[in-house]
Order: sequence, then structure tokens, then C-alpha cells
Amino acid sequence: MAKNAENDIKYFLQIEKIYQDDLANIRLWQNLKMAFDEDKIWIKDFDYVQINSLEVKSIPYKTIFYEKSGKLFLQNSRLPERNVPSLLWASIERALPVRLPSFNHNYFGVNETININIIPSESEAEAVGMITKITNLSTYIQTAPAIRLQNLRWTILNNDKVFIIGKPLLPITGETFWQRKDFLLPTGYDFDLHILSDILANKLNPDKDSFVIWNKDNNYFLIHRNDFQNLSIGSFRESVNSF
Amino acid sequence: MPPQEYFLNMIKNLRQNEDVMLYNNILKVNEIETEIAIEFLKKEYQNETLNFPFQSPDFDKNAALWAAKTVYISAQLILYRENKSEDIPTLLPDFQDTISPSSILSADLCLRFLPDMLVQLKFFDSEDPLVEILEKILSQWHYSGINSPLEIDKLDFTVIDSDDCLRQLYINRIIENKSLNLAKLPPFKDNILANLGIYGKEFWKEFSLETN
Repeated sequence: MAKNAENDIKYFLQIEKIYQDDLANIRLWQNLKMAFDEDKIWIKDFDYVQINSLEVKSIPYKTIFYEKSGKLFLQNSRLPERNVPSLLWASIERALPVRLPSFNHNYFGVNETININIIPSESEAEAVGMITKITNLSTYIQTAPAIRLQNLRWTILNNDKVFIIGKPLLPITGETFWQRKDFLLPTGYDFDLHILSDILANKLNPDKDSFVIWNKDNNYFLIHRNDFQNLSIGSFRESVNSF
Repeated sequence: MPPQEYFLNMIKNLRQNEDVMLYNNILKVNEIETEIAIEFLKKEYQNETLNFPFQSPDFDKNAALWAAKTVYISAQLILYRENKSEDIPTLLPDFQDTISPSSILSADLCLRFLPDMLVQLKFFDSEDPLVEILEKILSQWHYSGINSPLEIDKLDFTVIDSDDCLRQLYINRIIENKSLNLAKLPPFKDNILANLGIYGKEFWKEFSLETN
């Protein structure tokens, strides 16, 4: 197949150094080479498509040349303008390093707050906590095999509900929770901003001696680790009888 | 310490600290002590029934006392042997009543320590005639001997299977001791499978491999 003759023409772009930042859009074209000539910047090796692209056309204060036998011609001109400058060419990526904006030390943003929300989550984990009614637990536990109770710990909430923690949980109905570090979240939910969970854990539970239990309405409550007792038939009967 | 309380103190110490402590070589147990010991064992039994599933059987004082005496005299015979071998069967009489769920659970208060004592005895002298007698007791009261090597063919499970509470406690002990041979028997296998549910592999891997 014949070569497209137009593709052989190499275009040059020249721009004042003060407009260097306007070159950002073409920095990712890796075929380009770039060189500095006092207060001017030269970029070479554009092909026809590139030089007519939106990215190049949107660069202001530029001068475009094309090269023929060692001479540079202004675009759309047949008179040679000058010779190809002999410069130290580097790839455009290296010549235009990425700079990050410097930190603004005068900006504090002390009054800004963010809301911590929990949202439905895609990932799955095993449930390790459960809130259920005492009556539900009572019917199961009277005939429970010891093996199903031995890994569980429990505590009583509000006189009519119990919180059971451990796995595997009992086969009874109740609201289940899964664990994210010291947090127990309703199963199926995770923090909206889960990157904050460590910071949140330090704020809510600085001594790491409690579990933080979240409700679906974004409220939470703490249960001290020492408030849990091993779940056994005897422990259940004695606690419930003492009411 | 008044001399008449050797038996009582040994039983209390056994229940509370799980140690065998003997004060003297006295094989006799007097009446007053017996009454106090029964009261003590009854209280211990009531504490344990708190942890029993289903409806707990009543306390059987004859079985509890018989078991306490058996353990006391066995310990005496293991540590201070002054009697001849022929006297041993008369010192350790069989249980006179029929064995019921109540008697099994009441006797277990003390009999559960017998397997460990048997291990000690075999360590001293495995040829001792007492070994055979204790093994016979354990095969009759096998709920207390699940953690010792039992001859499973000779065991009778009809009483165990007749009571929901005792059956569940028996199964708890099988699972706790991971006694695979007992677990595979018909009265227990299906119940254990139901107890473990879908968590069989986590709780007891060998059993779930055997049954699959």
C-alpha cells in the first residue's frame, strides 16, 4: 500500500515559555520531542492529524512550522522561514513534569462537617452479631445443644431484647450484624465513607474496649466488651429469673 | 477438724476444687455425715440443672450417695491399700435400685471423676483387681465415662434414649470429647447431625467426614 505522503511531513510548534502550561493537553502524546531555546519552547514530530487536532488548535500564541529538507516553513507558506534549530531534544513527558498545586496554608475549613452514613453494600460477610427478643431466645435455648452455645456471648438490652455475639449464630429470628473492626453494622450495610472508619473508631471507642453497634437509621450505641457473658442455658435462666 | 467429717470433706473438695484429698484411711462413713453430704450433693445437682436442656430429672439421693461413697472408697483403695483383694467387691457394692435418668445424672456428680482416677490407678498398677471393678462401674454408668475408653458393644442405651434431657446431655458430652465411636451409634447419629446443622465441618470435622 502506498504511503500517505502527507504523513511524512513533520510539523514543529513554537511557543513562548510563559505559555508553557497551555501545553498540558498534548503532554500525553509520546511521539513528541521538546526542547528549550532561551525563552521559547520548541516541540517537534507532530503528524498531520495531531497538528490539526482540537488539542493543538486550542493552544494560543503558537507558531506552527513544517519541515522540508532542513528548512522550516510557516504553515500554509511556501517560503522557508528558518533552519531547523539544533537543540537538545527530550521527550515531552520528561520536559514537562507534572507539578502538584502547593498546599494552601491559609485554608482551614474548621467549620466543615461531614455526615457519617451507612449504605447498602455489595460485599458479603458472615453475620457475627444478633439482636433478638428474649422470648425468641428462650424457646430455642431450653433445648439447645451445648455445642451451639459455646462460641457465643450475650448481654441483655432494654429488658426485652438481647444482643448475642459470636459465630455461628443461633437459628432464630432477629436483626443480624456483621463486623467491621470494632463496629457492628446491620448485615448488608457498610459505611458510605469507609475510609473514615479508623478515625471514627478512634473517636467513638478510644479505649477499644467496646463494640460500636450501628442501627440502620445511622444511630449507634456502645456495649462494653466486659458486659458480655458466655451464653449458656444456666446463664440465660439465672438472668431471666432475676428480672 | 472433727473426725467424723472425712467423707464429707473429701466429697466437698472433689466437687469444688476437683482434687482428691484424703485425711485418713477410714473406710467407714457415719450417718450424720451422710445426711449433710446428701444435702450438699442436692444443692450441687440443683445448680447443675440450671444448665440442663429440656425438663431436668429429679435428684436421686440414693444414686448420688452411692456414687459419692464409691468414689471415696475407690480413692482410699488407690492410695492406702491395707485390705486384701478379695475384700474389694464387698467394699464397693453395686447400686441396688434400677438405673433411671435421675439416678444417672445424680450419680454423675461424683462418678465423673472416676475415669481420671482410673488413669492414675493404671499408672500405679495396671494389673490391680480394682481396675476391673471400676471399669465395670463405668460401663454400667457410661454417661460418666464418655471420656474413658469404653467397650461400646456392651453398653445399654435404652435409659439414655428414654429422656430428652439426658439424651441431649449425653450428646453434648460426646461432642465435647469428640467420641467418634459413640457418635456413630444409631441413638445419637441423627441427633448429632441435627445439633451441628450446617456447621458440622467447623465444629467437628472428623464426624462430618465420617457421615458424608
